[in-house]
Amino acid sequence: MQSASILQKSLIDELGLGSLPQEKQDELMVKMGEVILKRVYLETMESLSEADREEFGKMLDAKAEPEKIEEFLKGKIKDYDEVLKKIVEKFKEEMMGDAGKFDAKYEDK
Amino acid sequence: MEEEPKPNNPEQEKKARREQKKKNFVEEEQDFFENRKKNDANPHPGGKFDEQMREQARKNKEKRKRGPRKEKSDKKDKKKGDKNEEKLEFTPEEIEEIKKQAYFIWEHRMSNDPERQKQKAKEYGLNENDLTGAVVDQMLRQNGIAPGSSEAEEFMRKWDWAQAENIFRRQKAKVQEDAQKAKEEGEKSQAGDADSQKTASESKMGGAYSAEDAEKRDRAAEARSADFEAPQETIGEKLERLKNDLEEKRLAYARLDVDMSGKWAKLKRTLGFNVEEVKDAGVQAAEEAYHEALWKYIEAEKENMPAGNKDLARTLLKQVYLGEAVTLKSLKEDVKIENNKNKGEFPDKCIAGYKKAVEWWKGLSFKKKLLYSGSLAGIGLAGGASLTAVAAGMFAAKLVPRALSAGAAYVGIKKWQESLDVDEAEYMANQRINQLLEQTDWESRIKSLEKSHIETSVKESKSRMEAQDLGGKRKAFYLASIFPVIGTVIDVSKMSFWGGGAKSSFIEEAAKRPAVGAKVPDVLGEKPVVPGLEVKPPVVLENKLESAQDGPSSSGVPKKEIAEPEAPKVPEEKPAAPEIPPASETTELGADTIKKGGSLWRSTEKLIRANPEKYGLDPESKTFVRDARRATKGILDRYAEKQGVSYEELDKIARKKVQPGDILKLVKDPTTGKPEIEYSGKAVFNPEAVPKNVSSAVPEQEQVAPRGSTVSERTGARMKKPEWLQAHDDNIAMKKGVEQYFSDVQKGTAADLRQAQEALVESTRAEAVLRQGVATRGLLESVVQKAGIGNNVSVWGEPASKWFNEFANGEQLVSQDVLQNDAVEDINKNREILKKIFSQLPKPQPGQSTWEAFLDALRNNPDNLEKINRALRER
Repeated sequence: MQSASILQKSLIDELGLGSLPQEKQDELMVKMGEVILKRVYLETMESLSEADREEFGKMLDAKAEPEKIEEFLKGKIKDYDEVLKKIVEKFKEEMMGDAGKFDAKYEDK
Repeated sequence: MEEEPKPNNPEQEKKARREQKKKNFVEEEQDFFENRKKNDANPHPGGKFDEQMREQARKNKEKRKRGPRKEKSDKKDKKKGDKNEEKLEFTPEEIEEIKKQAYFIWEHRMSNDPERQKQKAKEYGLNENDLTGAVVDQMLRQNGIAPGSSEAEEFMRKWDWAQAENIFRRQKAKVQEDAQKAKEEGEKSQAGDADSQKTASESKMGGAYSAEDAEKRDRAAEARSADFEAPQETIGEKLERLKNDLEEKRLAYARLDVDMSGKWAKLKRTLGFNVEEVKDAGVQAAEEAYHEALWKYIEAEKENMPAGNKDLARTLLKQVYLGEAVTLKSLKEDVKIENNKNKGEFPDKCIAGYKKAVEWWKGLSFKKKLLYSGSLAGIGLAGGASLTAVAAGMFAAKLVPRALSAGAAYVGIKKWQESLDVDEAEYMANQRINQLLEQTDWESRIKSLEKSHIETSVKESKSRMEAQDLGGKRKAFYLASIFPVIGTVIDVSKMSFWGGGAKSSFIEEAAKRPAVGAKVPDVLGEKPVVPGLEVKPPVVLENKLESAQDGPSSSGVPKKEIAEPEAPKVPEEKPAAPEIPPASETTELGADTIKKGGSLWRSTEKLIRANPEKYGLDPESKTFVRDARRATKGILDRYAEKQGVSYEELDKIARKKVQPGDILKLVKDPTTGKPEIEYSGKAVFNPEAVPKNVSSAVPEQEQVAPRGSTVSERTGARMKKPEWLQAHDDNIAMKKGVEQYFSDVQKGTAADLRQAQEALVESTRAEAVLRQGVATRGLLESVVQKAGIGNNVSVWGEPASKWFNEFANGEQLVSQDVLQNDAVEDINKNREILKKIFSQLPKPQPGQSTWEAFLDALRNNPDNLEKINRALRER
């Protein structure tokens, strides 16, 4: 069920930027991707215990394979998938809120 | 306030400074408390502060207006007028500057960064430690105020303001001094300008100024030299200035907000349940300052935009606004990691990991970034299973196929797909399709759709197409309906999700290229299932057809753009095309080949101006140019309407899609008599998003669009369904069924989303109340202590000491100063407040602590918080 809504909507459209020139859309998309990346990383760190952070740091140092990292994080953080999903959803909500703020302010002017 | 000579003895100096500060506050005390009474109804400290400032600015403005008139009418009041001048030291603009300065002082004072506080104190001409917590607390106590109390907050706010004023005065004096020097050095031209300004000003004000007044004005004019320079600022300079201001405010807000959020995160961990942050007054002030700066920047961008399409301008500004919002979020994450580093909460390796991850990101090609961004953004709605892989891939700083495919499976946005390498795009598409096919209820869901519903759906679809008067496209649409069922599965995805862009059929490619993850769709069968149709038209990548009425030219399609399926082949025997007699002939008014840099508008206007008589225009008329443009707009409006899009949409598409070499004809519509456009590339405007390879894949026999059919459709005449088409009814129905299925799914998802949003709103409200309850905890604790401990007061039948212990044991963040230095000593008064509070709240359940019960009371009924606040205000 969820697939359809994803496929028929894009975040850009939801933000009301569908008519924006393509390169501008892409730029914004990339900027948003960077924030999500940072949040995912920080949230992951905050969810780990001190000892686990150490271990995780070692894995990064050793340039562990993504599969191993995934396995490690899933094992250490409860409902890790959900945690990550929430990060993205929260980010989207924030962006929608920002878009709403702009619309409201623009209407006022 | 002028700087006084500093005593040699540091102690004396300190004392003198304190005395001066106290003196400053006493002068303003009366006004301040009057304002506070007025603002008692406003519980928002930052708002109150702003309100006070606004009120002061308003008063000053009024007084300034009155001043000169009074002097003019009554010279006896000169002395009084001078006094007013004393009070009107600052203009509203200057007050705004002082307000900003006061905010920055406050922000540094609250930063918990001693190094920064010392540095800033020096810059401000204060003692090195004046902004540190220890000195501030000491100053408060010396003034008989408990640190952390609301009185302390108000006191310090005034202190910040006083410092800001002093700083501003010094800066102003410096400007005056510089101006004087410049004057003395013989910058006569400037002096001349100033004189002329003065003369104009005098004239405007009636010229009733004494020499003393004139001198004062001169000084004021010099002090506001920055204002005089403003009109000379170019828009580029203005943008640069506002951008710098925005960056400064952004950083200040991000630091403060992240710092406070960190404290709240600690509180959450301490309490063991989720509480949302209460926005600190300082954070709010910073946020307001940031948003103000942001909006000024947006306004300047707006000013910088050329006049024209308002919607586009709005969208561009929105993009600037949202881009800034994202920048702020990104900065906050950086500040968070910086704070964690400073507090030693994360090991160095993890800090380094963050930096590595960011560096890795910055080092990616734009295309890869786009792919990841799309994957992440899409996954939010789809479920997190694959996000883990994407995240893990990012941590490992590797673009691994697994992570890529897992994320990409949910992308589903054409524009991203277009930006990918061919193999990447194909891999993603196949993953998407495989996943769709694995949905076991897919077929049954389609088959279970009611027949009548499907028929209606088909009729609606036909009507829509007919209304759009797109004969050529109509046939393409029917064929597109058939394609999915005869095996080109990839067309299903494009029709429904991506709207076109792939090269050839999935099945063909699946056979040729198993490495890209494609598999034959079991649910649809490997062979065409359309009875009577054993044909498969060529699939063309780009739609370069001639106009629909002229029919697509097979010779006009480059060979390389045609993917010839091995079997079935294009039929040699052409099915009979519907024979509908042509209506009256259209008359060609002119034709123009679009050149590089050309547009539909240009070609249309060119044709009209070349033969104005044909369009009822008089070339000799004074308004000819305007009339020609009006006619152009009218023709384009009609054309847009025919395409089923708005003019703005048409314009938007045309800007991207109209190609040099395309032909635009103006013809006289036989029905309406009005000039209409026939454009060779009109398929690009089709809102039904017929895939490019489909719309141009019309078999030859259907490509000859009977002109009569378009006319009959336009006039609403019933069209007879061609026999060849009747054979495909089932397939059309199935295609519509697929559409309906996804439509239902979308509706269901929307309903779920709505429900989730409502739940979120409700829980947010509850949490907001709760967090305010938590915020009042320190105060309550103090009240309980003062009223209850040792005074045999009971709360809900339990000794107040029990309450106090529960509060005190659980509290981590509330300042001990509140507990120890609360100025309210009246035990009886506190006791009354306690009774008032708790008599209104439900008692604890068995086994529940009083604190838990208290929070529950707030959570369950937000009105309780207001009751408590009312009672507390009575203190």
